[in-house]
Amino acid sequence: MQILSYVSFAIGFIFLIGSVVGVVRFADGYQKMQSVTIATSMSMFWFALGAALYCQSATFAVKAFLIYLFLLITSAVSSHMVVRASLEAGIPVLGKVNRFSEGGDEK
Amino acid sequence: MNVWVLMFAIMLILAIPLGYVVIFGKTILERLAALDTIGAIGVASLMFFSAYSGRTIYMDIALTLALLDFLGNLAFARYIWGRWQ
Repeated sequence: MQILSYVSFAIGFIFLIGSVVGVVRFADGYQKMQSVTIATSMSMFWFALGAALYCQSATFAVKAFLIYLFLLITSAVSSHMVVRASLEAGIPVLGKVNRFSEGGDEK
Repeated sequence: MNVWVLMFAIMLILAIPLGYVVIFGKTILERLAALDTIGAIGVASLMFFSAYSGRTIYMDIALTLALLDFLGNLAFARYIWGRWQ
């Protein structure tokens, strides 16, 4: 069972390394906000699964998946709020005209 | 070499370029994205430490850290909203 937990830790580290490379290398802030959600949704699932398989106790598994569900909900909500606020505030999108700051039909 | 030492070392090494992005980012959105990823790495590290030590009390600390990360993001969204208008 420990081998299985190490395998899931490795899969989570692959997703986390991809997320960090995306955050460092993407050109715009909005693209970077897209790359954050890989770390909080994909890799945290594999980390919680690996930790629950390593300890093999019911309370540990319940708490791990509670943390995963909490991160899955709050990451989507907070990133949506931050991106919407920065669109309203007029931080420029790469290669596009900012339609929120020009008083379009969105308001 | 212990496996857990290797995992914590990978976590610390992954946090270094994110710290570079936090310091030298151009807009506030890039810095905030890197800070969010650092928060996820901290939650994962506390989960690893809880699995390593066998105590489930550290899982509660990880849940509290995730909650504080969410509240910090909300505060930053409010700050961005009122700043450039």
